[in-house]
Amino acid sequence: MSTSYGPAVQLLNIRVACASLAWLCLACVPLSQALAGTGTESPEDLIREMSKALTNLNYEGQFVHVQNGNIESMSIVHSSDSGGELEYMLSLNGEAREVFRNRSLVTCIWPGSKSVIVSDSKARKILPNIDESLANSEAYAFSMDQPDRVAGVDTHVINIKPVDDFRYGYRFWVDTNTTMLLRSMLIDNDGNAIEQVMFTNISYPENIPAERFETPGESVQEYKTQMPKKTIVGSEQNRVDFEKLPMGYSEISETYQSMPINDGPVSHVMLSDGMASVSVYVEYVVKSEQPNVSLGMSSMGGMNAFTHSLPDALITVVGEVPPATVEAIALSVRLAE
Amino acid sequence: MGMNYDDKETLSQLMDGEWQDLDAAQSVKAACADDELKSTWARYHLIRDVIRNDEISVDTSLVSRISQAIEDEPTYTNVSAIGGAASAIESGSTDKKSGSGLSGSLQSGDAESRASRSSASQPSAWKAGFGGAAIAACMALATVVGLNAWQSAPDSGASAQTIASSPAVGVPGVVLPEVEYVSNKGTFWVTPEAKRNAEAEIRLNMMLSAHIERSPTAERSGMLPYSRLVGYDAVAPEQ
Repeated sequence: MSTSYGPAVQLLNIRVACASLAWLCLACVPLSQALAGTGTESPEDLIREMSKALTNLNYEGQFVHVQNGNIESMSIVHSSDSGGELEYMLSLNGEAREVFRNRSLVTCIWPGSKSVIVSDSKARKILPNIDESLANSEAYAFSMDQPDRVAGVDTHVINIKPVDDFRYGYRFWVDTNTTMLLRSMLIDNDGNAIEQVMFTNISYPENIPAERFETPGESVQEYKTQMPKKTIVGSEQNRVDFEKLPMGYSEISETYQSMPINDGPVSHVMLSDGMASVSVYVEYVVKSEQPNVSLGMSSMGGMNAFTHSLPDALITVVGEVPPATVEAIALSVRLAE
Repeated sequence: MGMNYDDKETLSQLMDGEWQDLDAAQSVKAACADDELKSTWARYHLIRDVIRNDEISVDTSLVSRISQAIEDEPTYTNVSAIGGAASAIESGSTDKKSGSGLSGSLQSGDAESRASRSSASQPSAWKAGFGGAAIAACMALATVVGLNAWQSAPDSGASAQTIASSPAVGVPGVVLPEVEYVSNKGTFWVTPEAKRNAEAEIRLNMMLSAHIERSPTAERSGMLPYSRLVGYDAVAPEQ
């Protein structure tokens, strides 16, 4: 499905002031909390408010994503209510790649290769809360920079500098009124911006029709679709351990369940240092039956993955962290006997 | 009208850019009015190009545009007479495509005699056309060289290196500035392997999607969580 937002965006731009005011008056989502974050908060507080705004606000806009010299323009529509989040993202150049995210599923569609990936969606509110770890972070130094403007909107600017080479640095531009993230920069250990996202326009509609988030039906029926496997074997299984993790990273969760990547159950361990997260996937497959994958490092912009083959398991570590981090974590995995 | 020594000398001066001793407008007008002069003008250029080992090619679209612009320009009525050469130039282009064009002939040597025979067998239209092409090409040359000089003014050393290393394209004798084109290589999983592995990339995308959904920091990592998957260029079926 391809959607044009031109007229809608124009209309919404005209209405944005009224809509924002209505939001304030109705207080139907926690925007009031976000708006409270406009004064003299610490950078850590602003980052927390920014995270809430990305999850809780209704917003619609266009942005550019710069990665490895490639520039992609995309549109996003995001809605949130008591039932959860709805999101639709569309690539505006090249093939019309789309991602639909509703309360139970995430559907990624690549029409050029006629492929679809469907995976489970998980409500943010049931994820582990790591705010305390951010407040007491030893892995990053947070500071405020000079205010700036993005997409015609005044912004706070936050610098997040890592203390070592096992994580990236960040620079955030946050809407002073809504605490919405309007621009971000991912910075490598040499100080180079390896990825950027920047809104070119954004509006905050009061309501967004639910049909904007409906996944296409017949038009993608012929596509090769990877569906999630519903059989959950278990959770919170302590099957994976680590000999030594890089400083600041700790285990947030571990599940042992079916995933589309493998016929059997897969251990999925989530690690985090408060800003970045790393997923560790362990597929329990003997070497002779392991899938045709690229062993070693795979990179897509700031996202890195390291695949490591053991005699009876295939380990893949994925995260928005430097290559050395995913490799170190993958090589430190120890499996329960 | 027969061509005398003075006419040839005038053409030579025009080619060498020694316009200061000439009534340039009158000289160009005279050249345009005389088929033999136009043919000579064209031969001079071809010979010069062969001597300099320049690729003999005519950017017909550029020349056509210049010729058309000249034709449309009322101020330079003395030049407008050669504007109708565009069609003849295009026929030259067709000849080139057929593999028997001037480029191949001239590269095998004996440039002037071949050009002369050719002009004899295809009288006025061809000659007028090529004359127009040559004069128009000369103007294009002046334009591009002028542009080169203007662009390279702050650092002539670097410019000279660029020009020396650049292949001749478009207009004979003209070296266009090197341009580093921005190519969108696409966004995908880069591995040490030479060839993309569709199955491996799909697996990584599924892992990335699950990672985003379960990450407690997805909203504070800066990137809009799914922008990487929306930007991902899937492996084409034929790869």
